[in-house]
Amino acid sequence: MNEKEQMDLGRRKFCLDLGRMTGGLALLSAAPWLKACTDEKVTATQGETARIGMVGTGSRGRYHIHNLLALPHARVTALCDIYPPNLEAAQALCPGARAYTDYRRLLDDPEVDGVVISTPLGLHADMTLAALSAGKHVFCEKAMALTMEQCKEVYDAYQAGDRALYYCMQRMYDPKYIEGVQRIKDGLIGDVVGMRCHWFRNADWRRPVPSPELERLINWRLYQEFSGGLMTELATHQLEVCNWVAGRLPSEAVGMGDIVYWKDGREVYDSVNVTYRFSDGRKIAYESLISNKYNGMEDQILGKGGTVDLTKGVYYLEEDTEISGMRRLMDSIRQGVFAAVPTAGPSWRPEYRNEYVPHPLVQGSVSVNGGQSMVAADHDGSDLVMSAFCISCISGEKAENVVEEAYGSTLLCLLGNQAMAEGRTVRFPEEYKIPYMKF
Amino acid sequence: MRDETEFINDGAVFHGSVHLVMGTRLDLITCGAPLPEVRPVWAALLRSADRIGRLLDRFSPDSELSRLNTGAMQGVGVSREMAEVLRLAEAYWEQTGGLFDVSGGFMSRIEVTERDTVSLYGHPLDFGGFAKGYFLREAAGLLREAGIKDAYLDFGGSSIWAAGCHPFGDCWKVSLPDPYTGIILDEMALRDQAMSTSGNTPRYSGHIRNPLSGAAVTERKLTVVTAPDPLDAEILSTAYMVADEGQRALLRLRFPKAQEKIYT
Repeated sequence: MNEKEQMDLGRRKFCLDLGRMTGGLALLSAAPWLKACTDEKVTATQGETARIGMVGTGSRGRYHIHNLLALPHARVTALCDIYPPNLEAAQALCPGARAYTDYRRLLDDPEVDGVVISTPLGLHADMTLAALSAGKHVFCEKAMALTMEQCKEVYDAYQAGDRALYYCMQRMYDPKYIEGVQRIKDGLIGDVVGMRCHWFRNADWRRPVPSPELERLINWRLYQEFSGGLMTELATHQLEVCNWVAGRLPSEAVGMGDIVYWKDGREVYDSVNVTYRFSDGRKIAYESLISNKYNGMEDQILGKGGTVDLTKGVYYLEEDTEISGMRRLMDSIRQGVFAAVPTAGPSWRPEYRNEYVPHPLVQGSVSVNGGQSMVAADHDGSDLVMSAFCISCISGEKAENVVEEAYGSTLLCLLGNQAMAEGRTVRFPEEYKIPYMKF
Repeated sequence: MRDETEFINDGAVFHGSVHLVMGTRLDLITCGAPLPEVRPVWAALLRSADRIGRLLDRFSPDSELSRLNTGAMQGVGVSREMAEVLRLAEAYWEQTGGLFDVSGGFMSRIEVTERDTVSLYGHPLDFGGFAKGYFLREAAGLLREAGIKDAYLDFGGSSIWAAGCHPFGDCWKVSLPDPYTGIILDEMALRDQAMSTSGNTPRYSGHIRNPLSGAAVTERKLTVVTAPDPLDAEILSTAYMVADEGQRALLRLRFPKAQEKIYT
């Protein structure tokens, strides 16, 4: 195999090989955004490279740089950060890239096809709008923006233009989620009757600050000027999954949020409980707390016939509580009877069904993220979103529904924050509904 | 692994079970063997399952297989056992005319050198059924060496090793329910034989692919293979799922001690 062929194989590693997944090409109907990064698209963009400019080179930005450096079809050509230590750390990773301290100068750089925005949430909207306006393709960290108004402004600008826009909603590119959602839609657990998502950590969510004037810049997640707190930083991923599974959005929200433990001057809640209700009465129960991590992180889809925990890539069946083969065999031996052992059949069904037993959703190894890292998890889909973005930078093709999904989940986060702040049930505002949404 | 054990019928029958070995469950029943003989064998089986799990468990991100699948994939040094397993898988690939392929159709491109380095060239491996058969082959040997003649070893309900006979019979009887209706399709008598089943179910279909064509088997189909060698049974139950008439004849010729039944 020559070097070029090896490189081609390397490129194929960075798209989802749907042919090898159980659902095959049918998965494209469950996750239409994958159409922009199929094996065929990789082949069509062969030999070309996306030139990427990084806006924000903190820990998350550098995580993306590491993913980009592993992509044969990407090259980091420009870097921008206002905090010198972060910029220097990124320059060490990308010695050939031009360095900027003003992102608008980076947007003027003709050697940049697409920009990756990894900055505080409060800056997402302005930077995304400026980048789209400058003719750049954009990959932006979640959530979409800090206010509903900003979200709508970005959505409208994206719709009016021809540039690709991605949000790092990595669950949308995670094989266990894609296959899991497809199998839920195929009836694996019967009618979906509810959803429960939670994210628990036991940490203050702070970064070390070398000098007090940098507090708000470095610990931006804790201040309302830049952040929507646990909802926009954590729940946004999980609510997107709920919308994806339901194929619609909840129409109202009610909740309570408090600062229970980390009373350190922060402005965002460290404990949130929000219930979202769909028009048919089904609910999403959402909870996040960062002073206890016993429950970890889970995205549970509850069906009449079973439960899928997409986070772990497993499902549990209600009927697993029946008595099974090995128990029957032992009972027959106790009674002195020579009876046949009823086998479980071709796919494994659990024995001793007085407890729920996990079944794997995906064949092959899966990466499970415990949700405790503040930066990232390995192989959680982030690398694939980035790869897809770079393919779009080359092909110019927008990814179907990515912006719409990010818009929907971000608005639900903001709706949850509003419900908690106002202490009342709030309805999804009419003026922010878009054609993609069903309620 | 946390196992559970019990003795019934005045200690004449032992039952050990453990959850989530290679993503599934393992059960052992022995008959007539005294406790001091059974305990070390059960412990040895658990150690063997643990070792093979750390080698081939596709559900564990820490297994050698997972690391191989997600790593550099070219010129990677592997353990001696992994290299031997790969050579064994290649031998089955040749014997089955390419119908059993742990690489899903790319075995011809996989390289295993004499110095135990492996190049996958971007093609991850899946030892799902193979791993179960590989374990059962070793487990059957451990039982034999310990002098335990009557034992029933069930790995996930779809892979069985039946040694000797049931305490009240002259074999082990196994019934096979139709996965679509639950109605019993067949009953088999096993004595010193392995049985493996492959197929589709209403909830889980299309997971077996023909490595030669890449096409998924989505039809209502169930294959059952019995053989004196558990690994042969496991390999063949998958191969018969995708084999056409001519290929089935080839499999019968090359594995004369195995018997297959195909239900559609």
